[in-house]
Amino acid sequence: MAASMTSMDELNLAKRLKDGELTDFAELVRRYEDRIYNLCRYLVRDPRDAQDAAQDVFLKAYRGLKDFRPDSSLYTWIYRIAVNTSLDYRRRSRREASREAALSDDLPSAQPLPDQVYESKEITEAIQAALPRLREKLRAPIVLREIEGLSYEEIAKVLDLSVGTVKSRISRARDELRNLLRKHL
Amino acid sequence: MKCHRIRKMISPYMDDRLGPAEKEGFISHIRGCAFCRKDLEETQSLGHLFASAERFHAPYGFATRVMANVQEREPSWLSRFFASRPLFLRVMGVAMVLIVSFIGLISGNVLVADKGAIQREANIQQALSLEVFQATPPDTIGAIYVTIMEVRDAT
Repeated sequence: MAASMTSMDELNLAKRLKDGELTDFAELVRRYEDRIYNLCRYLVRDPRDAQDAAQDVFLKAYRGLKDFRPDSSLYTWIYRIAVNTSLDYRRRSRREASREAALSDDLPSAQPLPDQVYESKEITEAIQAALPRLREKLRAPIVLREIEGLSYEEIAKVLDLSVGTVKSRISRARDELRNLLRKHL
Repeated sequence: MKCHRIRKMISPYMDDRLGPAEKEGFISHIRGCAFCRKDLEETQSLGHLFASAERFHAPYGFATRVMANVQEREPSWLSRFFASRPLFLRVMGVAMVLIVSFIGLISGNVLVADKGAIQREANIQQALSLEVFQATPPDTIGAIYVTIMEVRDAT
């Protein structure tokens, strides 16, 4: 997935973006809107907040075009903005407190019907309910790995961490998620 | 290898991050250890769970709304022009605009003031001039009356 992101086409777009032309920026939005929105849905969870966060990601990207170095990869840059914005959103959200309080009731029932467990929607809800219970520093690495399919090296670039740290955080996130989602495994 | 070390290798194993020797030792241990095998199976199930989770698509019209927001916040050509110049040039530019405006304002006032004075003088001269004085302009009742009286006096 990520390998295809660094094509010549992508490099050309990265160079053109420096000129600040709106048509080039529109191309960037069109290419990344689904990936960024999907990432926000798993990091922010609330659909409205996720949509606002995704909008903010692109606005920040547009404002930050002058600081973008065309030699660095476009997806690393935009994913980094998305992760930071999403985590900020979760921290800032006024609804956060009430949502967290209700979280224990929010997890899917302990004994769901077998045929429902494997439905994508149920699984998604179970994962979305479990992710906020992870420590913040574990949340982004596991989402980038399992949902976005990024490699350890790519995650390290996006989060500005060493590959070793990424490896250990993903491992710890999986351990914690195994406990949180045990009923569904 | 001991179980606690093997458990730390489960996640890298799933992501194919183990070297050949590590992988061989890991698989060999897993075959003989039911506890570690259970942990591996659960972690693999977690991977399947994530794989079956929904992938969300941006809502309809999302990109259009983003671009509308960007254009709304897009600075005018004037502010972009100034923003791209060094600070001293920006300050000089603003100073020049103020100086030109000030000069324009002063000159405009002087011109308007002179024009008014000239106009006023012309109006006074015209009012006092006997050359243009007409006590009874033609085509008025007064003029007709004067003509009648002149004709009567002549007869």
